[in-house]
Amino acid sequence: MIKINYKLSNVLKTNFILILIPIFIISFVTLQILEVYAKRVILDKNVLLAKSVAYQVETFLDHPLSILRQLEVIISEKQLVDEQEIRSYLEATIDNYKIFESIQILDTKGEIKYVAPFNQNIIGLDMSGQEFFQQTIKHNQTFWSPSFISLQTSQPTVTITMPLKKGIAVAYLNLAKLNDFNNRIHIGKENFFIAITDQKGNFISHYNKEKVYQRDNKNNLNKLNYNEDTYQTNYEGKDMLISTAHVENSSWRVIIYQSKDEAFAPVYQVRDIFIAGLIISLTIALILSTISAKEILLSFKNLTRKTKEIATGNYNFNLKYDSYKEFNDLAESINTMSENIKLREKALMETNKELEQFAYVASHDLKAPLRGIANLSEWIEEDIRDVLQDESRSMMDLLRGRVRRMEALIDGILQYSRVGRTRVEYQVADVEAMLRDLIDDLDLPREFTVIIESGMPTFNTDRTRLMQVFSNLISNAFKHHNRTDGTVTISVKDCGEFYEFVVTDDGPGIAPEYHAKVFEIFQTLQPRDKMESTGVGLAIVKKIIENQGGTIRLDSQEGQGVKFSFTWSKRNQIRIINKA
Amino acid sequence: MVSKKHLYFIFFVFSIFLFISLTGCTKKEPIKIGLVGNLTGRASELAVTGRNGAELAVNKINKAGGINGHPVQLIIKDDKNDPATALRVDQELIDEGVAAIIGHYTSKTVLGVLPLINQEEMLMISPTVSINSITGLDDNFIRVIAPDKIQSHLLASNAMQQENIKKIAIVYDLSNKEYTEEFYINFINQYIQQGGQVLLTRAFTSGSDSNYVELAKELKDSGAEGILVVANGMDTALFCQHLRKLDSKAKVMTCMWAMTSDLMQNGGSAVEGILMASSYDKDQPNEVYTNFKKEYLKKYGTEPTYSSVYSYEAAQVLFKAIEKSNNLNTKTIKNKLLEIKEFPGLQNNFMIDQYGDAKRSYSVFTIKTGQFKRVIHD
Repeated sequence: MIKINYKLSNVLKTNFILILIPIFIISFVTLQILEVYAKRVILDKNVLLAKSVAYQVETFLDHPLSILRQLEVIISEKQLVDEQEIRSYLEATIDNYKIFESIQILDTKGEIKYVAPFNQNIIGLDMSGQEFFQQTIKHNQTFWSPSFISLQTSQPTVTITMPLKKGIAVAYLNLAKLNDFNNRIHIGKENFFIAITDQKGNFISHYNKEKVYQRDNKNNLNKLNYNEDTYQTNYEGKDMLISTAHVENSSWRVIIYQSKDEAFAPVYQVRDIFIAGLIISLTIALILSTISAKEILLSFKNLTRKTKEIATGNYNFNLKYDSYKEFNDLAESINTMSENIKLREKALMETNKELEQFAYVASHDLKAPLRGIANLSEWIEEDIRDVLQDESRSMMDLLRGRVRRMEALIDGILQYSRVGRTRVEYQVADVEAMLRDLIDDLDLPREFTVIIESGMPTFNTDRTRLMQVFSNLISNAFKHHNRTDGTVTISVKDCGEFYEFVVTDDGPGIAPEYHAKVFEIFQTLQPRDKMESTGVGLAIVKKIIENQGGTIRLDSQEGQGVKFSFTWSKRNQIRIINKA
Repeated sequence: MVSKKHLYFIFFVFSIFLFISLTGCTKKEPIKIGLVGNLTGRASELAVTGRNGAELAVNKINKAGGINGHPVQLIIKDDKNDPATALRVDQELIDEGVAAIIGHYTSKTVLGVLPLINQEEMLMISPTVSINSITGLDDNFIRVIAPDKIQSHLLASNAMQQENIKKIAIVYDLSNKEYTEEFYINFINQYIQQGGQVLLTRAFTSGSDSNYVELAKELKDSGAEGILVVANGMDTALFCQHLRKLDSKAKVMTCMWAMTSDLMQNGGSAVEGILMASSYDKDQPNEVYTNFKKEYLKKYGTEPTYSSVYSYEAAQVLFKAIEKSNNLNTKTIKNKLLEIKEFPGLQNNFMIDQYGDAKRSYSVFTIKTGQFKRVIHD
């Protein structure tokens, strides 16, 4: 499975958005709920206000009702019999109670018998066509008429009628008084006002008196007849809240009109404050998180730079931090690590230096007597040349050969020991050109062919070591070939983070039981007497390859040539810690 | 992983969505229609019930989506039955940019504003003004009620031929004399032509100052067999009441102007048997009318009057003409209206001729047990 590494900055941004979205959603939902709830409270409050006003109107109307009841009692129980007494009583009632415009007593046929204020012309008029007469006679109970134009005043009026033993009493209400009452409980004007309608929806009290005089009816009777509630509607071009309540004793309706904007202004204010607060909070959060993210990313950048410096061997780069505690701790740890690496490197350098010196001295001290032995053998051979027999001469050659072998072994040990300890120098290596130079340097016989396949890379690497690997493998292939006209083929495969080089020959091959042995130091497949070899070449190749993180593999069968495959990293890796 | 491109795209789409929802799609401008009549005072019943009828028409058209998608807005004004006020409110309506005016409801006010509406190229359509003197004029005035000559002639003929009334007395209201004078004169012409005799003619001005009692006495004492009262419903009722009190046996006749609910409410038994000529039959069984009546009753709690019906029809006529015009130019609307000629009424179809005068059929009606009842057909 391929692992995808995300950028921290993108992750931080995404996380911020992922936090933002639920905050927005939750805030929006919360706001909606709060708004609905707050508006409901206002709507209910308006209904309560309407009910309260309706109660006040009811109380207001109780007075004329009670006067009429009194009248009914007086007339029905014949407490007043004389016509003049009745007229006087009625006149006094009109004088004392300005709520009444006039009072009439009608007989059972609907004819006016008495009227106050007295008007002879009205006496005897037939009011049987009026709804108030018909309804009162039919139901024998108090009736509140809808508004109609008064015959006497030519203005809209409403009547309260009360059944008497013989006939009915009709009281014409002064709607101006009703308007005065409305004005006393005045709330506002166009955007917040109270109106009263009769049971048919005609205005009988309104801040705009024209609506009363014109018997304006803008109500939806069905809705308002039965439900005391608040409705949202468009009234005369404005969005209004209309709250209604019944006036029980008269079947009138009290209607409170309030501009929706005015009513919900506090809700909208809270909403706007909430939104503003949310935007400000989120903006601050965004700014703070951006600053924090930038600080974090900068800290990472600096830390990365420091570790790179350390990787290049610069241990004097001291990270100074005044940031988050974790970064401070990390910086301190890196500084400590850097210091420790510096000390260990120094110790290692000294150790390597000592080791190098030792190896040099050891090789020099070991090689010196060997040279002495070789020289002595030559001198002795020269001295006793006359008497030296052939067998003895060949033994001297053998002696000198052993000395040279020893020297080669010592050089091989030195060389092997140096692998991985000398400083690596990275340089651009054109592998094809490098191989061609190498082949020239190896001075192979003309008939021995080295084929370099196409696709050889050019890349930044430890050119010296790579050349050493190829040199050892090619010279090994030639040395161990059973023919002078052999062929070595070198190919390459790009494996992503590394190259896989393959060196194949058509020589005698290596039996599988020896595959592991060939990479051991000082191990040879053939006796040294038969083929002079130090036995360190492939060991060195293996060590070089493994030091830069690669692997080497041998594929061969006896008689089928040898195929060495090794991987070489493309990345520059600083491994060497000692100057050569 | 949300990339920058994704974020920009989401933001763009969200902005578009927000823009569309805030602009709330495209709302069409309302078509303003004025309605003007005497909404206050003694004779306000005609205009008040007319206004109600027009409101029903407006509600209906708006529920159906308006005129070509435009909602209709009714702007209502009160002319107080005063020509000066009528001029002022008409000008206000013109200034408010109304496409047409429904009204006025009395001849007096219409005559006062005719020059203005012709000058300002404003279309006016009246539900109830039947004055004869403006018949056959090519102007911006249209009406859905027939000229009153037909009424007065029918009434006169009925008085002579059906009721055998040979002698009459007349009383008429000066507060709308443009109509009342013309009506009674046309009546007299027809009546005299058929051999009738006019014993007395009296005028009064509607209102509480008028001495209805004395006039009633004069009418009764004239010895007339029939009394023609050319007045509104309330005043006609009052005269009938006083005549009844005086035990007058004369047959009372009146004009269509009085055919409102306040005639019966204020007249009681005194108006039983009264005669009038009308093109409106409240008991017509027509389904369209029955549904209208139900709707009117449901909304206003009372039965419609002829003014309610004709105002509704006037509004419908106007809406139809505007719909066909596709613009609000007065000439275009008027021409389209006159092109249509025949219109479906709530009770019967009616015609509007090339001068904007309506043709309707009339019958004689009376009041029986508190209800208007047809007597004979035209």
